[in-house]
Amino acid sequence: MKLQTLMIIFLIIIIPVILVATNYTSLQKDTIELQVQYDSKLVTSVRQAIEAFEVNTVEWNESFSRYSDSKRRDILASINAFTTSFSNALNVAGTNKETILTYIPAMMYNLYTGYYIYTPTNVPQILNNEDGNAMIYSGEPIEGLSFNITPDSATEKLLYICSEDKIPEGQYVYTKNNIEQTVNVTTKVDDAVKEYKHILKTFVPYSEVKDDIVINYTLDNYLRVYTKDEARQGNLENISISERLDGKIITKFGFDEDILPEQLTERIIYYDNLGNLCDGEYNYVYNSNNEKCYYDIEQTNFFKITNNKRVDLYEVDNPGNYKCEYKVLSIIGTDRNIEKYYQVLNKGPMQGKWFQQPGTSREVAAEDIGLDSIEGVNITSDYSAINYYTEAYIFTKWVNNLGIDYLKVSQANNPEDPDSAFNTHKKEVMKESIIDNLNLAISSYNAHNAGYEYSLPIFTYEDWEQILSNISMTAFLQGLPIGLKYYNNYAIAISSNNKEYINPEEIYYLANNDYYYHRKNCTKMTFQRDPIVGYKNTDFVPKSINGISYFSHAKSNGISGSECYYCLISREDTLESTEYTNAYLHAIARERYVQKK
Amino acid sequence: MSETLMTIIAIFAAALIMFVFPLMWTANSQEEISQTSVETLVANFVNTVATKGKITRIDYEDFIQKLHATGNTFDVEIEVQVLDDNPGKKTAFSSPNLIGENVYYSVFTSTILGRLYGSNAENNIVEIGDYILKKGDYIIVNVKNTNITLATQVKNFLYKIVGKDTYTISASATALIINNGK
Repeated sequence: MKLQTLMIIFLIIIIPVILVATNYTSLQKDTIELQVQYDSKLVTSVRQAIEAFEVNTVEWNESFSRYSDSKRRDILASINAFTTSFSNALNVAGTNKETILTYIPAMMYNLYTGYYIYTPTNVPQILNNEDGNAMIYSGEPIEGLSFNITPDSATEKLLYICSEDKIPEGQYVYTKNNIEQTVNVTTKVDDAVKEYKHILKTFVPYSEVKDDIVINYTLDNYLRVYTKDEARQGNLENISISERLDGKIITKFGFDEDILPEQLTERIIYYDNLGNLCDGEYNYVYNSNNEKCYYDIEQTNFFKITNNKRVDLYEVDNPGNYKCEYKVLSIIGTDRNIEKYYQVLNKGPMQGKWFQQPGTSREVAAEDIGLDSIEGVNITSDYSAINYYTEAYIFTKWVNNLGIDYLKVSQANNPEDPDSAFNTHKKEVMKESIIDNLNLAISSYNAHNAGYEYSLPIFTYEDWEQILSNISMTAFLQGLPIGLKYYNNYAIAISSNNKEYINPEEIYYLANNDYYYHRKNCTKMTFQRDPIVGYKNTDFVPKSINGISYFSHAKSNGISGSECYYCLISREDTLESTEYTNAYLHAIARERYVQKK
Repeated sequence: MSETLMTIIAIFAAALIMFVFPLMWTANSQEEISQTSVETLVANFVNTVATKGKITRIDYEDFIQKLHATGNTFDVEIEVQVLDDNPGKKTAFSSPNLIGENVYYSVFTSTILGRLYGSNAENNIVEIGDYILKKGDYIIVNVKNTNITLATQVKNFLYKIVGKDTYTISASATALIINNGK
């Protein structure tokens, strides 16, 4: 055979092979590139969603943060931010949020006491009017609505679109695009048409049942325990009291130094009664509702800030006045139970006086509750840290008596130790609950979406550490076709700036003579004789009012104004000091005590 | 005579078609696959660092090992842009969007590796540990190959590429750190 013939035969064989191989390799390359792009976009979108959550829950601007107590609203807003961000990032023609939601079998928000899952499920289709508002029957006639059998109007009833195989209770007639439309309606949920859509499911607490005792865990050492006879909540702490429990204030909890009343200060800018903008630094205390009350030395009165406006406490002349506001001190009584004493904050003859109950005239002398033994105690002393440890001591003792091994606090089982039996068991309970509910959500998603098998991925150890130690959001993206395969990945973002959870590592410390604020144990703090005070990190975000931004703990001479370059900006390992212990114990106790649970 | 000439030409053509071109094609394919592989590795590395909030020695060594598994040698440059303090922080300022408010300063490969592996330059002993980052920082990784790939060697038969930075496989990725490292 001639060489030329061989060559031609070779070419005939090899060219198709090369073409197919090149095409396949090119397709693989495109698939991998697309996957890498989607990974980045998913991580970015999850980050933006958690930032949206932080915007709604941190006091950047006091007049907006008052809406922050609606968790479901905040989470739905955050989910909206995620889907908007991701669909914008994909930039594919025709992409809209509903298309993206098809590939999201679940999203999970882990909060302080439990979690929400956002997943599609069958929900009854509600009848909406032209404005898109749900229609409610309350006995009053509604235009266009007629009933075959008038439903009982003793309670307001939501109207649903009736399923075709069920008997409708009435009809709703409306005009759309000049065409008359008739819809069968019912007030019975079971007869309604079901639609498959993404909803935020009910809140699931981190809960377990042990020997007829229900225990609800949280991200830190706070528990809610329900036995057959009673329900209690509190923090577990490994503390000991060696003083006599004689109805007086306790300051020794087994630490090297005493836990004392604190002087807390903050700079605020606000509008006064005349509408003028005022700027000042004030001492503040937390009242019985855990609200900040600032003390004006000149007017000898406390005030609160509501909607960036100063609201002075009313002047009262008797403790029975319902406008009285109090500061609370918790003490262990002779019967080993918590007794609370209330100090009047309002201006007037009652200011500074202590009472056994709010609104009564049963005054208690400061000496009777041991306040005369502590130096420097005055109307601006805050007792939140003392209250925290006192109440934690009683709660821990009660929990220890329940007879549950992993809840018995001791030196070997310290709730502050991440490897203790308590924390290990708590994380297992949380993991099981999350895995069970996510599996349920994703497998029921499978039932409605043939063509791709959705499943729960296996989280790594680092993933679980992030989910179980912080407020976090996890988004799953599966089934998105990207060439030779389907995209399957998840992303986790944690929130470090929120009011939900006090992270012990995100408390920053100030001293009176240091231009910088620091993280715990930073060796670069300028230590002098003045005590250092810690505040949670959300107190160091810039606040804004009327276009002016300011920082709550930055003084006008620059003291405490800047982040430490060694521990906060560059996060180097300078965390070796031992001078912070006392400040840490006070700060973590105070912040946990006043945190809204 | 002409038949001999034709035979010689045929042999050259055969050698070219049956050996050189497939070799060139294979080498180019291998280079493309290496390029895709390197891009994926770099993107995964920066995403891991962005999620963890720190550069660990284990992650870095795993990254380098996988890079070298492609059969090439690489020059890896890591830059961390650290979010600096707000310069207007000391007093109230009129607008939160002042120019220069979000200032970054850069830390480069030698400093980062010095932290991961320890350094002892000029009595400045750096303790070994993870390189911790914080939310808001950026990590930028650039990777370029330093060896001459098979495809380049084959191409050099036809034409020569001269000059600095004659790399053929390169990848670059950036990520915003989303979690504070511990």
